[in-house]
Amino acid sequence: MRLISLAPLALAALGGLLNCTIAVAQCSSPFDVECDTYLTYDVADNYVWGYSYTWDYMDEGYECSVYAEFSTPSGDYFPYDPDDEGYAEVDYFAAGDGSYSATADHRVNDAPNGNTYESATASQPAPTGENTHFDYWDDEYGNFYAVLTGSSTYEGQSLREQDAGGGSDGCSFDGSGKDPFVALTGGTWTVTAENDWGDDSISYGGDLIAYYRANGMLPCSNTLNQNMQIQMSSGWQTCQSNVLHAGIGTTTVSSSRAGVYEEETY
Amino acid sequence: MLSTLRSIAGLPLMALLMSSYVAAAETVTVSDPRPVDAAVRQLQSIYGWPITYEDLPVAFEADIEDVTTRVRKDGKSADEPGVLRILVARTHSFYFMLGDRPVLKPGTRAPEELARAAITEMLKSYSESTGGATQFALTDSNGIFHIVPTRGRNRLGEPEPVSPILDTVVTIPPGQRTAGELISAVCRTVAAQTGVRIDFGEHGNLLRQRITQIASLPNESVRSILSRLFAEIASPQPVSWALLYQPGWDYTFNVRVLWPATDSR
Repeated sequence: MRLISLAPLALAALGGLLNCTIAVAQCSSPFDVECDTYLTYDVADNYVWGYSYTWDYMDEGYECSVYAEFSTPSGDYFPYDPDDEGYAEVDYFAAGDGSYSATADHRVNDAPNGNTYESATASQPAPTGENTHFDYWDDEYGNFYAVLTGSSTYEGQSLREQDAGGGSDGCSFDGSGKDPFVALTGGTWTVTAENDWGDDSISYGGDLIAYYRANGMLPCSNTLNQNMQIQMSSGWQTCQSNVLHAGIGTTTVSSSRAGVYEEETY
Repeated sequence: MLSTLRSIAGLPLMALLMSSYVAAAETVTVSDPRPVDAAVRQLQSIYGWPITYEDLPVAFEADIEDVTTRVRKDGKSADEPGVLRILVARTHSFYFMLGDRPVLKPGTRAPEELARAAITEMLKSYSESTGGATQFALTDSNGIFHIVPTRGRNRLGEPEPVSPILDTVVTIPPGQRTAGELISAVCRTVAAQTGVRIDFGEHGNLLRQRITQIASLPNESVRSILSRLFAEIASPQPVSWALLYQPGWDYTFNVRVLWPATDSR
């Protein structure tokens, strides 16, 4: 929670956007005037914002004016006047869906005079999938990145891979000292501001490549089944299933993810 | 290759429903070039405990099979000059009894004593199946069980004590590395000290992403260093290893992730 100073206030606000429900304001004012509080959750840009209106005693009485506005999830919010009486607490909003609130505690001459409370409940939709792109070779490892698709942004949220089972290895053979490369080990990533993540590195690794070449197993490759999961407020959700391949040729190696294939001399 | 012959004990239905274990007497039969490793993989999935495995070196000719012609895809035979012979351990079979089989939720483990008893019974049965000629011992550290070779056959077929490769004491200087880099450094160091080749089957994001500060302690064995590392990188999935020996190629260090069978698969 962040504490911000506000004068005796009533909060007013602006309208809601996608997937956002605005609660009815519950306002108690020492001045028996209407006050409202609004928050809204902008799904497209993944932040919460709102406006605070205050009642100030002016020359001719109390007047309503825009007093503060705030915006998250980065924690930043917009100007307020620290000299005013009263304060409001505003949630630090994390990325993702959830319930968000702002509370304004009316004060006159440092005495609490009531509270206004408003909340917005927002649902962040999971990504609808991802688009895979090849990034670069790091020796024998093909490195891919992927851009999440959907109506929201997911910056800062965690992604992980899970082995989906059913992998196969065309290079291995019974009795070999090399375990078949048929399962993922489990990587984790954080979504960037560009809504992408990476690298997903795919290869048998140098020792196994040399081994299968020396033992006449070429050409050969494996198949892995990968579930990509994103952490939402409700838990890990699978947002994409991919098929991965690593391949070994006489003088080349290859890596493939979700149909994006690359090969290099190695 | 594992097959299970199960005979359910005659327990009342309610007792079965209310128990967290399926009370059953099972005979597990294993037939594999590395039968203890095959049993270990089965026990890992049953009990949820990571169990590492270090192979016995195979030196006795009667224990070795030449599979060059059968395995190579390029059609070359073992008789052709310059062709690397592919040698593997001969398949061996044994069976062991399993007691209570736990019903585990994803990410949980059976009670330690239950897992320990099952592993001990398996190793005892294996040793008996070879007439005591080849044996393994069970140790543990950092919440991980370790299967360690203690007795094998030499080139003449005579049983003799084995010095486990992972008991080698090494010095790994302090530094920040990925888990994969640390394992590579350990393998290289052991190879330099013992003359035994250890390949590293690294091919996963886990070992390329996880950063560790682990360095060796005074007089610390490779098994202890790796045990600390694997305890450190075990979340969310338990991780184990298998150091496998292949005649003519020495050892390979393999990393195994214990994916829960019911975890979003």
